[in-house]
Amino acid sequence: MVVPTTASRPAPPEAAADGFEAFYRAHVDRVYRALAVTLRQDDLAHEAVDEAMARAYAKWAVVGTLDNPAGWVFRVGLNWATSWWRKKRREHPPAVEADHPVSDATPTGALLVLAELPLPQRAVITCRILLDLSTAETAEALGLSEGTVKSRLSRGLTVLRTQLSSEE
Amino acid sequence: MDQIPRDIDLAVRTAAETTQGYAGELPDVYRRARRRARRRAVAATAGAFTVLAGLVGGGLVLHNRTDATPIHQPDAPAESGQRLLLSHADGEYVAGASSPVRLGPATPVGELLPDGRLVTHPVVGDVFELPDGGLVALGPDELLTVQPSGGDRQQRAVPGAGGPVTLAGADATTAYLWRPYGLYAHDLAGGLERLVISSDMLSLPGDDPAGDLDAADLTPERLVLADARRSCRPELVSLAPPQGLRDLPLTALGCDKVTSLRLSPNTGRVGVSYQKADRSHHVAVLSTEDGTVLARRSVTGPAELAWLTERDLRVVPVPTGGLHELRQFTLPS
Repeated sequence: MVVPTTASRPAPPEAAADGFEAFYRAHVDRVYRALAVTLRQDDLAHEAVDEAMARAYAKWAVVGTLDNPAGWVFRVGLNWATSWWRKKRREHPPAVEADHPVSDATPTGALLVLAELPLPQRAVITCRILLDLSTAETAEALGLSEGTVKSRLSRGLTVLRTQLSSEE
Repeated sequence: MDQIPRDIDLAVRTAAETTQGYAGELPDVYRRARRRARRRAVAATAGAFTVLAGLVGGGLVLHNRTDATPIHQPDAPAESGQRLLLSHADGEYVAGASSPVRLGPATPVGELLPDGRLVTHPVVGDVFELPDGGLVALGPDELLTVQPSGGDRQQRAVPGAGGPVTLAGADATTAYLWRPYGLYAHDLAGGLERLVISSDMLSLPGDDPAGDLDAADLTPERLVLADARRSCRPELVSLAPPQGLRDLPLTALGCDKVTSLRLSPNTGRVGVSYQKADRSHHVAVLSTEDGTVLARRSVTGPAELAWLTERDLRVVPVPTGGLHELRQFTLPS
């Protein structure tokens, strides 16, 4: 039942794959860093961005046409990580309750202050600053209203400004 | 406040730069996408095949496929140890003087013969060899294909009944399937199934045990598996009777993730393909008696493994994406 490999030439790789590869190379590090700051756990951010990129690749015909594929990847990665974290907490409840993962590394400076923010505020701030998304784009990426994005951003920035000023 | 003050913008960007950069690689993403696609395709068709099974009295359908792909040549000889089937390849490959061959999740599966030739077989999906030189495969259509050496192809629906089903291995009479709740032995002659070991005993998720595996291999007596949550500590398990035997840790070798496992014919050794944190790829041979590392070597990509003898492991790195030449070698132990 062996079929000679010379029987037929394979079809060339789809152009879509090239488009995804270019997107991946241009954005993966930025999305990863945004997730790492938001999730406060580098290895979880790594898994999350890989999972989200795999889903983007599978749906590239659609995702590639979005205005902001990087925002889509960020949201998918964030949702995946949040689900993972909730499942882990159900299976292995922590001794001390926490509402988000805790990094092994000790954060400093702005990273420390960011770590003090609730995860939804961190997500908005990282979208706005690290992914360079506008308010409207952030709202679309995170599935929020623009008003919610603005209020979370405002509260987060207030805390950041206060804490960073006191550090100085 | 919709504008970001410049000093905060700068502080956050600087903070993000202090995190360790992304260390992944594109092939990892492609591999993950393929695993997802296989699981989703199987789950998506489960309902249709459940109905089909119901129409025949809840049983399984066994029939000869008259529209099967014609057999072009006799089977590869089976006397040269285990076969090196390239189920996880995804790219274009050349071996020896052959023309480039496209292999991927939706193409016929490839096999690298001991003499260096690359051939393909008209089956798709997860594929395992049968002792008579035939193959058993489970494609995304949830059809279990049995292609005996020189005989007629047979196909049988193995509906997942609401959960994913994944082919785990095969011997002369049995295909082993991961299903919700555990590993099942599926009788190739009659289609009856029995639970071999539960997912609970293996600490795997009940709804999709295979979904959490980085790699696994089995014989009728032994199972070795790398759970993604503790990938570098593969666990050796007895299937008859079902009980855990020992861990086979690779952590001292700098392992970050296991990509392939292959038990030797007598299960005295296990070949392991693994990746380090720096994304370099390596192969090792461990004794299943005590976990001793008997041999190891770095390779150029995630490797497929097959035992030529109880001591000699055939290895071929199979990088994904792009065009690659397949160069196999033997790792003695």
